Amino acid sequence: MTIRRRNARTVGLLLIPVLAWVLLLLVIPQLRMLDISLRFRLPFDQVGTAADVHTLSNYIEFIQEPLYWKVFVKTIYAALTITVVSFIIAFPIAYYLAKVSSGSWRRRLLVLILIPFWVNEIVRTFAWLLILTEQGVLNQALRALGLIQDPVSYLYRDSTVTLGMAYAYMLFMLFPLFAVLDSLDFSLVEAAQDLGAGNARVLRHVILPHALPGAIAGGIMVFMLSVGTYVVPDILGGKGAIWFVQIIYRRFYDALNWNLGSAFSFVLLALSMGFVAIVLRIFGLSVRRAIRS
Amino acid sequence: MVSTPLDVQLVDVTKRYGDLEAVRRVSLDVRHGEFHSILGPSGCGKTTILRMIAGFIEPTEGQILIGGRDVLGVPPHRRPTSLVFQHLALFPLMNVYDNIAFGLRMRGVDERETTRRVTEKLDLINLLGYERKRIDELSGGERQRVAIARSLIIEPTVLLLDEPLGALDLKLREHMKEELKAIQHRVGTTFIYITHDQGEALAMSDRIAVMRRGAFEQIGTPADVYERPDTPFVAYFVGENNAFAGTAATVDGEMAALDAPVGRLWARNPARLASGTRALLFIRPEKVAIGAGDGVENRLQGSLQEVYYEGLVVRTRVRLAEGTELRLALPNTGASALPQTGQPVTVTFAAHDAYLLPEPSV
Amino acid sequence: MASARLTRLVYVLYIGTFLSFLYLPLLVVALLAFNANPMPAFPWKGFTLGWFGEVFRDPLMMGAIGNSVLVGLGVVALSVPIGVAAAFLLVRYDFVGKGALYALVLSPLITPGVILGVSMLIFFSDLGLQTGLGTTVLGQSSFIISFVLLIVSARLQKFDPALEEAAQDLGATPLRAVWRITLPFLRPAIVAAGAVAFLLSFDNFNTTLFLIGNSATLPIQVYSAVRLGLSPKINAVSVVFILLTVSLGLLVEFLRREERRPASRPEEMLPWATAGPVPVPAPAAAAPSSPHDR
Repeated sequence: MTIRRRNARTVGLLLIPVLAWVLLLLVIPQLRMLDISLRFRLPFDQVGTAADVHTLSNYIEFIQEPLYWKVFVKTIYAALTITVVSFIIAFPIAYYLAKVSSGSWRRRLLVLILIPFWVNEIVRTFAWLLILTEQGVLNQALRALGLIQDPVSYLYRDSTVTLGMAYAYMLFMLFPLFAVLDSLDFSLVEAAQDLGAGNARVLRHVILPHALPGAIAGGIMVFMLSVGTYVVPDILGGKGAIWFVQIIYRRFYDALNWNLGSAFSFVLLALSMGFVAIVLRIFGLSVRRAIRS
Repeated sequence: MVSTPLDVQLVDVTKRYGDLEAVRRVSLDVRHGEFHSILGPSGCGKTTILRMIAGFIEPTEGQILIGGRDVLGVPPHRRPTSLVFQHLALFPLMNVYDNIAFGLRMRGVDERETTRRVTEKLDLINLLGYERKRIDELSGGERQRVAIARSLIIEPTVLLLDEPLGALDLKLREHMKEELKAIQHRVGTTFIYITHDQGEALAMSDRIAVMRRGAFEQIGTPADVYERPDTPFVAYFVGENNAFAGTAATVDGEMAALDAPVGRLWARNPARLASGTRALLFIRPEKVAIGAGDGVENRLQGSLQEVYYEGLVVRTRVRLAEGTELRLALPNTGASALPQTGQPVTVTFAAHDAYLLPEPSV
Repeated sequence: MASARLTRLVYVLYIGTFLSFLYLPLLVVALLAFNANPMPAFPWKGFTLGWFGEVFRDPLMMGAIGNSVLVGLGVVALSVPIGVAAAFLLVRYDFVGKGALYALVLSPLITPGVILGVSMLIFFSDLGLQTGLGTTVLGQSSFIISFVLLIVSARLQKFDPALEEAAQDLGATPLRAVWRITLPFLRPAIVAAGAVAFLLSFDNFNTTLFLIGNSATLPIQVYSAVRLGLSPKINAVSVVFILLTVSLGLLVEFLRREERRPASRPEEMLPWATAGPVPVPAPAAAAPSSPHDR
């Protein structure tokens, strides 16, 4: 319920910190990032002079250089895969938690699932590193079991990175799904069954539609995390692997090319927002409903 | 005649929301010490009026005076009014004592004085000893009383009550009606009470303003409003009523006849309707008798349709020859055994118990 | 019925596998932290606490932990007031451009942390600000405020405005009414939001990476250590890290359970309302960790 007091003074007062935050930390920096991405990288003394014009050269470089483009596509592909896989894996668990389990067992199970969720991404990735290196636990176990002779290099492959990402981000799909399934009134399922729907139909017509907002919220988060991933490819991928955010990082810190780095950042931002917009458009939901779920 | 001071005055108050007029040129005088109700269906604008008096809404036009002072622009926390909200709005995180003491604390009253006055109020509402209880531990009736005590303790010029009895069950509501009236008498504060329940309004009020679609149709004592309604809406809304439609004929001073499909009926003509006017004849269910009464002007034949035994009254429906259904409310004296349903009956009512009102044009 | 039992069995197996998959790596890390093996690998060479000792004697590590705490506190101090203000603004008032503002305040939730870091790095450098703990506080706050906003406004929406009106009617100025009635009601949400803010800050990496400059927070330090080479010391600090974040997470869960208690509407104050449903980390509103790359 809104108190529709046209109390302009209060609105004004509240707007000051909020606008300060939004403008100074979000809007202006990102606009400036866009601005820099549209300029050449110039030596310090030439900044601001006639040579400092707007140009699309950074973006052109992005499109033309096959390396950048391939990495970009690879990242998107992996992110989409992970999003879909997360949904498939997480859904039964979310359903079980929401509808099948109950009482204190359910609470304990939730906490059990939450705990790894709270562990930092770096630690979790490091854990996989330990397992997968040549001297790592997996190799040792396989050799001990006599399945292989020499250690296999599991690391430094894209598939490994994808696995690591899935491990890190899957739970972000689980919780929105759980919440939305929890809110499903089970009598709807019973009503459908009563009217003659078998399990598959119930799933398709009752459960999945209801779960949609949660799936979308979770999907958006997982996708966003995956395209923006830095630590996982950096640790598990080794020097050979290149993923998108790494490129951004290297442009900034290794090459000191803030202009190019900004261009890539902006591409990433556009990708992220674009994905959200498309998904929401496809599923016809408003932003608000997706966030709420 | 000693004129009682007016605690609240509304002068041609209008409230408009865009094109919608929620309150239309309403004027009201509330006398000091009065229990004054505003009665009307949902959406008629009574809550808007109450909130304008309390200060949460400002009128678009017109004046509001409280205690003689124009309160235009005065915010709620500086008005000498106190509002008992529909859902009571008791502070859930505070106990009974803190809730009641709130208003005093806002005014900087010292703790000893506060304790004294809170105790006094708790005594008034019969809840001594409840100081430390939390709000969710109280029953509906108890919460009701705490809300009233909380509002009364700051000694407002006028107490505003927004349909406070709506959430209570029947028995409790009946009891609270008596309690409210008693409290008002004891304390002497002016009450303005809004409700859609005419039983509440009739039972408790000194005067009632019947409201419809943003305007008052009648202001008067409960008896005025019940026995002598000014408009068909008031006649229907307050209590139950039977109505015959027809044309006025043979106007004879105070009395007149109505030519209706069922025949010629006699009634009072307070509105002085001229012969030939389309009119409605109203007769209350409790004024209609079964059986062949003597010397009664109006006598009709019909058949008994249904009997509803309600303990206090026995309601019946009688279908008249030409199809109209008449509702009767007979006292449960057991004196007259009723005929079987379906049997023919004669119903009678006196002319001075019925009255004519002009047919509404809308 | 046999098929129901079978279904349940399948579920249990599935979830069991899932949980093992989740926990196994962490258990490996924890176990090897106590292994007196110069490499974080098997064979087991004896139990030792030496690696932990090395961590606690390492000034960089301890410094990083200290910085993480400082930054966390700074973020809480900045995010909670602004988040509460934003909650009031968006829940209570209508004004021109409200829709746009709504989109803007929620946008950080779907913005990769990198973008936030990069853009603010550029802007701060324009302003001549040195990267370090201060810029990190600002950078993390940029999205953590959104979380505070969600948590607080969820509770604010359940608040019955009639309570504030009643307070005013009894003599409180509008400001006093908010202070004495509304804010106490919001307190559980504000506390929970503060805890969430701290946890999110503690875990953050992607945004911090660009704004931390020469200093380090714990995630940054651990990351650097991993880059340098494998050592059981990293296992030890990971265990410490795990213990810290899990305790924080449990605290947040506990606080959110508390938050579900007193309702303000009388209709809601029914005996069974206080028993409460199973406390769920309302996902977008309080994923106890951030989608912003820890």
